[in-house]
Amino acid sequence: MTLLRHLLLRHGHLFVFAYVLMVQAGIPVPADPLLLVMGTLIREGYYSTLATVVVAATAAVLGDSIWFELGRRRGSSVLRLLCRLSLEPDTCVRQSENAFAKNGARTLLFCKFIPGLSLVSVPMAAMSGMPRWRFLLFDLAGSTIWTGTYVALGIMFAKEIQRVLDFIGQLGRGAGLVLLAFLGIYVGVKWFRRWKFVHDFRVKRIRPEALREMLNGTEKICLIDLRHERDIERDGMKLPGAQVWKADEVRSRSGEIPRDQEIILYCS
Amino acid sequence: MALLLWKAGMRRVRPLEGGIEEWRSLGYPLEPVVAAALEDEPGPIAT
Repeated sequence: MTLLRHLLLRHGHLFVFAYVLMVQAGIPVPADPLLLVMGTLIREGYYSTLATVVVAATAAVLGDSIWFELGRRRGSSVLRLLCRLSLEPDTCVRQSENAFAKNGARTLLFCKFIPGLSLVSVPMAAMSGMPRWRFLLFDLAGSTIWTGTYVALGIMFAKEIQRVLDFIGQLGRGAGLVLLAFLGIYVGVKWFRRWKFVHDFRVKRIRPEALREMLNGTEKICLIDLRHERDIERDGMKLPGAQVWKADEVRSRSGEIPRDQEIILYCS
Repeated sequence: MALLLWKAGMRRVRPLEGGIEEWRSLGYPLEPVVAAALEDEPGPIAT
């Protein structure tokens, strides 16, 4: 944060533009602390609120536009790429699908406040067939609300943020490195566990022929349909005896299935 | 989603290769989704 303050004082709006553009382009670092620190500098009279919000919102829209165009051209492969960047890929796509099904284009107004949702909402908007003008309108509004909120919080809580910055400064560079090391280990462990799970899961896939034999046999199995509600409604059909589960029901309904029972999942 | 099930303690989880589309293309039987299945009612356990 101290380094952020130093860079912001030295490079001003150019740094804000580059940093926000980089974050929106998919680099997994948060832009919120930068906007908060920028708010403190506005409070101290270094920069103007309007110019900061305009610069940050423009960079956000520009970064989002790249994903929007990629989403239009490449569709689901873009979502798969973003899932690799996300730390919670199992929930981010489903969370965004649900948000889009419920709120449509209005999702773009608040998605930047929700980690994960922000990452996949833009290509999902493109894949839903949203016209460019509508995307730009809602994304500009959402980006302005997002940057404006954090800059305003920075202005309002400038003294408190400065106290935090001073405290971090007192801890010195060593404390920052330890924190970074812990963060790196956390991210590394999380990615490794996911990689291992996906690897094991691929190995354990079942062929339709084998599943049919199992369904005709005596062994009890549980079939779960993981398609999105919208896709299931559109299709109107499912595998014989399959249960339809919503993403948010996994934890609450997991008790319905005996732990020793084989569970077969399928999607489209 | 599969990871969520795994985290909920279910270890014997397997994905169907090719999903419902491959199942359909092989001419295997399907059944209609009743409205309740899309709401809160749990569906039957396949045997």
